[in-house]
Amino acid sequence: MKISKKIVNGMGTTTSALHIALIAVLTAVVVVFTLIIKIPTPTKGYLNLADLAICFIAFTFSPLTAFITGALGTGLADILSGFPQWAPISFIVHGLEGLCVACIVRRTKEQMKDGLKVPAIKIVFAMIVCMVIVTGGYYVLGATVMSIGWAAAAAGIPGNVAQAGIGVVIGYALSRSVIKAYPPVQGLL
Amino acid sequence: MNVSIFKQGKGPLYLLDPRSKVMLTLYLCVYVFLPVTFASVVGVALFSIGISLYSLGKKNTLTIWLSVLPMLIIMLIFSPLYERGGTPLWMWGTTVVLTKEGLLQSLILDFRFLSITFAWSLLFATTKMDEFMLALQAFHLPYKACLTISLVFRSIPDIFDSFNDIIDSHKLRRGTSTKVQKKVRHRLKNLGPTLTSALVVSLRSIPTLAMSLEARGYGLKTKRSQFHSLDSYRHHYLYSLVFFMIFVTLFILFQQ
Repeated sequence: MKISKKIVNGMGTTTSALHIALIAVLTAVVVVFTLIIKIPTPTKGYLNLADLAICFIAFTFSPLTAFITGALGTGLADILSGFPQWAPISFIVHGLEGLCVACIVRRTKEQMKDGLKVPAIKIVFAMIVCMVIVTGGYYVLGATVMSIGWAAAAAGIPGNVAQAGIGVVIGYALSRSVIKAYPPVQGLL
Repeated sequence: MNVSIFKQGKGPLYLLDPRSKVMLTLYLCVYVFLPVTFASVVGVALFSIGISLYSLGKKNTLTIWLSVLPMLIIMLIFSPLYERGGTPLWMWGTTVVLTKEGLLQSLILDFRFLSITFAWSLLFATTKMDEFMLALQAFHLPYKACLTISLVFRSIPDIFDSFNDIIDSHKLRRGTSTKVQKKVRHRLKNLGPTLTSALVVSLRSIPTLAMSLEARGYGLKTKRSQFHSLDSYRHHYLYSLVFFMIFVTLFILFQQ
């Protein structure tokens, strides 16, 4: 039986299979977090915990994982919740959000094992970048690609700012508590 | 938790090849952004709504329409304020509030948004998810990506159920509801342990899922066989070409 990649991780599985499983489960987590708690907005959209889940992934895993799960998870959540027209925009905006936050707060495995905290300045910077990407992304792409106009797109700004800002802070706290509660998470790539 | 958005209905959309439906949706979305007349944008929107009424029925069409209604109202109210040039229709003292061009622009935005909404909703409501995935594979989406999406759909109900179980068990630990628990701050604080537990349960399933993937032959170099296929659908290229020609003709006829 030939397997394409050798066993390289400590879980007794190939990197490729583990990566697929990791991406799938984390994407499902993003979808569930997006759908389970919905706070309605005036534009009949909704605020949710998507940013929280994406930021948790960005603080815990690699930038590529954060990008794929953020993009795919929110895109699928939009499709499942009856807003399929927003899926391409969510895909781009939240994918970029995960990638940028993960790049800013990236730590080595050794640093994570040692329990090294992310410096506050990096968290603040990640929060600002996150807010700019999410708010600006939905504003610009909503007004242009979705053609809802600049005025209607502006209605979503306050909600997106709050959602992204809170997402980074709670995402980081969640990342620390999950690593403490389940240390093998550091072995998952 | 229901992760299927397919709705049982009737009409030609259910018989159409999913690949052609994807192409049709894309053509429609591109067409409404082209410099075409207002009448043709309205026509496309009404056509999409008509197809939805016929295929999905009144109730489902109304659900789709209601989901975007507030957005349409906001667009209609605020968008004209951005376009003040042209023939004034309504003035507040010396200030122009509404112009003919502004109103027209706002209506175009509304109908364009309606067209896009109904096009995507119809695509997902009339196509089963496995067939949609096969259509994406036909457009050369890698097998790895398709497998991941299938696994996501498989994992969502499990994670959702475990999330609800964890919420219930945390509620039991806290006892009966008190005044303190009703405060937003406390509710948020209580959410922390729930989310942590839910994430740990989800993360624990990853190694098991990876092992089961390998046990089922993932990673083998031989190509795996598939149970479902799109072979029963015919003339995909022909339909896609016909749709393309229709939209090109419409563009020639209605371009500004």
